[in-house]
Amino acid sequence: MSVDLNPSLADEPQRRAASLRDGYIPGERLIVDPSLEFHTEFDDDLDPVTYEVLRSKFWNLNWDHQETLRRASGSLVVVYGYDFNTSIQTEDGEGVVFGPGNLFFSGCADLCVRWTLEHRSMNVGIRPGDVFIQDDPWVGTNHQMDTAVYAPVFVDGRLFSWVYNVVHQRELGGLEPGGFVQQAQDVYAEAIAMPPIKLVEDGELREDVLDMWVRRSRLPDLMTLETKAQLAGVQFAKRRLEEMIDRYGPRTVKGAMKAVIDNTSAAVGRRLSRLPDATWSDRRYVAGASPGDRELYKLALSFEKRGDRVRVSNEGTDRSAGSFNITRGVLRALIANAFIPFLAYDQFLCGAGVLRQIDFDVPGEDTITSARHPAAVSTSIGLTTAGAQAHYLAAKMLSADPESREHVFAATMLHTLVVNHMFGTDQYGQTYAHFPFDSNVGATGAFTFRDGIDHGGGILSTINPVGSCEGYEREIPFLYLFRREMPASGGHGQWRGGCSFVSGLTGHGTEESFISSGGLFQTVTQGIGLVGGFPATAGVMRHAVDTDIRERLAAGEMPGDPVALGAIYPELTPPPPKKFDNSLKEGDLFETWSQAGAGYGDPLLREPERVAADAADGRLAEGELERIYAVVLDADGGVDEAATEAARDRARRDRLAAARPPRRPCTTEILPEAAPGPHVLATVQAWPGEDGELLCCANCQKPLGPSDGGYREGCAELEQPLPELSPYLGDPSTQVSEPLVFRRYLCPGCGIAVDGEICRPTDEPRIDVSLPPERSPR
Amino acid sequence: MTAKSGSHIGIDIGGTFTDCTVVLSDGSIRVGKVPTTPDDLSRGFFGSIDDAAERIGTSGEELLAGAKQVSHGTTVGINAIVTRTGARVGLIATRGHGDAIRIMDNSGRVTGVSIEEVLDYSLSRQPEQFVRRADIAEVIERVDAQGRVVVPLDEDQVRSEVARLVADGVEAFAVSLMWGFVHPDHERRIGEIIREEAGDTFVSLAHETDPRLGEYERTVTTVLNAYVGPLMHDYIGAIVGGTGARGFAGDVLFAHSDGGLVTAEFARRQPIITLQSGPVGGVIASANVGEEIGSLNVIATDMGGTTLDVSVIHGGKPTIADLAAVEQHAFHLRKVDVESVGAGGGSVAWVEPESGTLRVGPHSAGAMPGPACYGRGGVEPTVTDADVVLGIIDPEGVLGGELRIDGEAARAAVATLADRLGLGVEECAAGIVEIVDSKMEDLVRRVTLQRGHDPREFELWAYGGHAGAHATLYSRGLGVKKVVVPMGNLASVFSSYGIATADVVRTREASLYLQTPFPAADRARIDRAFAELQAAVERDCADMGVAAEDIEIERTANLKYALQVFEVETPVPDGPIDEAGLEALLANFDRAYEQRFGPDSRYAEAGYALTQVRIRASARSERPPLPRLDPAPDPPRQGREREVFWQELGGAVATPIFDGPDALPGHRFEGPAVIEYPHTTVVVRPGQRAEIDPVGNVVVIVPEPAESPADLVREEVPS
Repeated sequence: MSVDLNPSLADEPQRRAASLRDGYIPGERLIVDPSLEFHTEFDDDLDPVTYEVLRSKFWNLNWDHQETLRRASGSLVVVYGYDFNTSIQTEDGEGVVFGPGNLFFSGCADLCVRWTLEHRSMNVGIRPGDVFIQDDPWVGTNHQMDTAVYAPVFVDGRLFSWVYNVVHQRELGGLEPGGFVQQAQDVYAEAIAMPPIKLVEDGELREDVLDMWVRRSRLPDLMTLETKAQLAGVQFAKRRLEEMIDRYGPRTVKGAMKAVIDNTSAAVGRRLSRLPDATWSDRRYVAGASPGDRELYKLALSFEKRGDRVRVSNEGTDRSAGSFNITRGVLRALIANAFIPFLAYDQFLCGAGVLRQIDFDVPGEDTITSARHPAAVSTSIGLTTAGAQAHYLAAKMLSADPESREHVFAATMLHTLVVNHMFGTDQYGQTYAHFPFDSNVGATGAFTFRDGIDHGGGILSTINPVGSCEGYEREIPFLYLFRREMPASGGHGQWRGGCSFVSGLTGHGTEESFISSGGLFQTVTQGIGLVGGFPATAGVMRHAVDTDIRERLAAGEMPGDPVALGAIYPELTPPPPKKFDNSLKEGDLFETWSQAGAGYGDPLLREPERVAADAADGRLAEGELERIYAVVLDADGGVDEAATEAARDRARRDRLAAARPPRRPCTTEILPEAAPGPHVLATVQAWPGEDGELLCCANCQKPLGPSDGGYREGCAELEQPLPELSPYLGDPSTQVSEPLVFRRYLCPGCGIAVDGEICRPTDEPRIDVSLPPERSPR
Repeated sequence: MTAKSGSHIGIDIGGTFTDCTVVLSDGSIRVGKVPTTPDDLSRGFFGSIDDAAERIGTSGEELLAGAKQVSHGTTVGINAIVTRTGARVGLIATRGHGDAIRIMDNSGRVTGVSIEEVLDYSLSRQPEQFVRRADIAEVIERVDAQGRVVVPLDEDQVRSEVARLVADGVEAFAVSLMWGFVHPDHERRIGEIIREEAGDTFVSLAHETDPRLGEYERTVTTVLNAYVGPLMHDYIGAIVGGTGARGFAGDVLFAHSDGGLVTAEFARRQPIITLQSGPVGGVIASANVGEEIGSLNVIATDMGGTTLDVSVIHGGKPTIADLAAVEQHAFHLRKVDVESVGAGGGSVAWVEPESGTLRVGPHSAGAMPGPACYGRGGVEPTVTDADVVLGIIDPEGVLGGELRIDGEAARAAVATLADRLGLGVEECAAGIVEIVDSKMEDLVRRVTLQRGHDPREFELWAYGGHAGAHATLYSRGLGVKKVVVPMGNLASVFSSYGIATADVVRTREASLYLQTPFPAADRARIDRAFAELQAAVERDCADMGVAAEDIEIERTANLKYALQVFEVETPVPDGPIDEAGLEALLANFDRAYEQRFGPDSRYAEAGYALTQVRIRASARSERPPLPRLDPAPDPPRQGREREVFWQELGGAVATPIFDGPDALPGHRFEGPAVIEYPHTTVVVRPGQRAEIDPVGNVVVIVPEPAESPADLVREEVPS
């Protein structure tokens, strides 16, 4: 990114209006008022010691900024939810370092700073002692609650860098308290979005701006406190950075910033270079745009990898709808979020180094993942869904490289957002509003070389505590009947996803208390498995009112898990999706899940000994040992090897017999004596054929299709209803208007699943990976 | 040798050495040091006493027979946990909540691990559990947050579950029920049933072990207490039996993490409190020595082979924390607040392959093989190797009188890195030191600022074998004016000195949840809770042989603002909590909150909540005062010089080397200089000056820094 030295500012108002309508994505060059001078000199030959000392100091400074903010805020959302972040940025907005909180902010911070440079440098100006505040999703934030506070740092009157923080402020208005407006059909039902404004001018807090900021809130005093905590954070970070500049000199500090970004960008680039040039794409269905809306919507994403770069497109995504949209800046941020743990895991969260390798090719068309103003954008559903898709596609792409494969994993918690907000009258007789995190945590998906992590958390944030039952019971008028691990809930596969837990609640000490059943429709899980692994449950909510649970408890009857509870109360059934006021007074029941991790690879490839261990540890539901893994155990619970081998052979044959035959069988053969080409997925490898390269099953080398035409049409297709895969997966037909199935693409040679997807039975197979046409001349 | 009787003896068992410090009745100090004996730690325990006795000119028996106090810091518990050799524990939990220790607050992956593991998911996993799934019994009972019984205890079911677990072979019991700390009757009754069914099997009841909110952490505390219980019981028996057999007539005291000592009987019942007592000795020693010389604000740093441990002493009192982690399991433990960073003498320097840049740590060469210069087969360059290359540690010297330094091996190890980076060997070594010292500087600053203090108002005390070599470098960026290497060579056995001179301390607490406006009935509950706690600690102290008039009582309460999450431990004024008492308490809280979290951080409009009350009773140790050393009649003797590389001077300079044991009050050492003790090296950097104070501390005066660190906590929001 560079700054245009001879800018024309004449069309700035038009560009500003366009950015606030379509969503801001900076161009090749920033157009900034020339009166703003930049400090651009830096040492480009830092010695390795100074580099490492400063790199570590950036990390520590930013960490201390984070802790300053966390401590001054004292908010549940910040302290436990980690819904915040901090960073240091170069003069033109590149993020040098971020903290381990919500990682997608690494792709938002640069947008805030750059928009400010391009649209505020000429009017109101950017000067030493200024601090800006903004929460406009079309500028650079997920939703209106995410408040960015950021300050320029000047050296000798020239703009040297920026310090930034962002916090999910708890209450900034909108139709529904807390601001996640499920029923919004446009932005006007939501909290007012404010593009960058100057909160501190020349060192002086503008009380008029602060008043305006908190005036829309139901808790203005608390938001004042939150905003001041953010201010204290940036002031702290600014001062520490200025001290660093004094101590080491501006050229050295800037040189270290540039080197950190260069090194990260080079590491990401090298890792991408190990992949073949190819295009990977995903299309998936989501449901839950609005209360009562039973439609399915398509979300599409593709990564076209060439050399050391990736071009991102969302072509094929449906038009914006209901309340589950995001702006295109947020989509870009989610790509960065997915790439950081997979491609920059050892680079201390340098956002710019990742973003530099991404070409973001998403026009300002009004889709779910590139929503135009005034679409509704407040619910975070689009965020988690597009985030799950980006994560999935990045993992799938990187599964092609044996080295990168070691760092990826399948879908994790928050793949299918569930929201359980609560409000009412508490056990102390006071009005309350609260947000137990039980449904917003969960497991890590399967790695490509081992099982996922039970209750291991996800990647939107690296840290995801749930909070104690006792802590919630002290403040919310309910009792936990159980918080029960569900050991069999991890997605099936060669490697299992991590397992999650389920919480059973009953109202306690209240005659008026409510819980929402918000978020996506859970039967349409977004926890899709990798290369033949099974999907993970998004859980099920269940609700019942006016039961005799109090009497039963008093009589010593304690249902300690969902099965026992459901056996007593058959009326315990899913509440209407996206209902904000399910009653949870005394005698009412509500059950909600944390989310499990998805599986990796065909379950028939899971080592039988591991399956036996799963059986012994309660990690298999009834019948899954035989039906899903085709493993036979002896009387002692050990593996009967001969019987298992026979059962697995039979299972492959039965699968192929039950499957729809390949739509376009591949008849070409691999050239004899040929050397193999690259993998395009862990399960699919290119081999030279007579008419160019072929995509073949990596398990048995059976050719499946031409390298630019995909392998799927050469596969047998096995479709199953989702509830058949696991008792924890619901039936989509109960919530949406069209049927959905789990379709697996089987190699017709060996019967092993190469990949899988959740689709409508009528959907044609689409190409999910292809090599460039020039590799396959015909 | 009249001072031989009436001595205070402190024994601290570390990974490599077992140290014994004897404070004789005239205040003079003698030290014993023997290798730790992992197969039977009590052998090292008595060996170190014998070693010290020999230096005094007596026998271990005679020393013990005349001793006034014997106190001990043990690592038996933590060793059992790390090596997974504790008892098989049966856990009894409320039905529906037996999985809390498996769900681990959804944070097991990241608890207590390095940031590198947090960021690279493939390196991290859920830790192994301490209780098998089948050994968790869920019983029928339930209490709510107010302590009301929602489901009565089903004693028959408890009895049959206990019988099942006994038959299955569990060796100890942990009982941890929902809200058992508010209504302990069910836990007590289960304890009785276990005793009826399982005899004297070790039983750990959560409301006794950890009366705090948070079922996951409380259950881990209770399980770990049971896990180490049987082993500790045997070990304490061996120590008490052995000291008795050697003629010691008193009660052996055990160091605990809360910064004090308890009798063997208490340690037996609640061995968990000894779990993180390791770093405590040094902090107590810093507080005690600091008190004697008027240094009340101290940043205590202990630099060992793998980590730098940092804690803050403010107004003479160590900062206390309530949360601990071991092997990725979080638990509650009242403990001296210590933070660590993976930066020690054994930290390995390496080249990060992706960027080709130099990194130091967090991986450590540990004690085995250790740094290359130890000559035990280590080849990776470490911080200690860099110190040797620079000449800070004598390349031809002997560490601790035993370990001969292999200067060539250190040089060869650093040279491999230097070649890859295109640096000279000394330059590379200086770089390694600069990087690790920068990390230490940042940690020390963070620990101090996060606790609401400004490092410029503190002295930096540095002990542990490697501390004196680094603290004088990294302190420059912190703005501290003095670095103190306490009592010269005693720095390496400082922890056992702290244990020898610690007070008897007993803390009891209770959980409440009371909110604004705190009506009279609620205030009466606070008074009642304090009265009950006071009676209980007085009973405890009487059991430990402490007379009521010798007890010093400290009352604190945890408070928070209603809509914020941080609780702050707040001093409770004397007297009843009437309206005036409440007002004073809330004012104390406002002050404490702002001090810790910054001005404008509080939101009193939302109201207050009080969550915990606590009494800490202490009985002051009757340790003799530190003897004042006579001033030196002559200037320090300078016999030797060696080439030492000083980065501030841009190269190696012939540097005077002084023998620490000869250094006396009145001696001054102008930097650059090196003061060598058998176990510690104190580096006086160019521009610095060292003096010996009247009790033998090496005090290095750090000139005004080029820049001052941020005044984070007092950062003003512009108005």
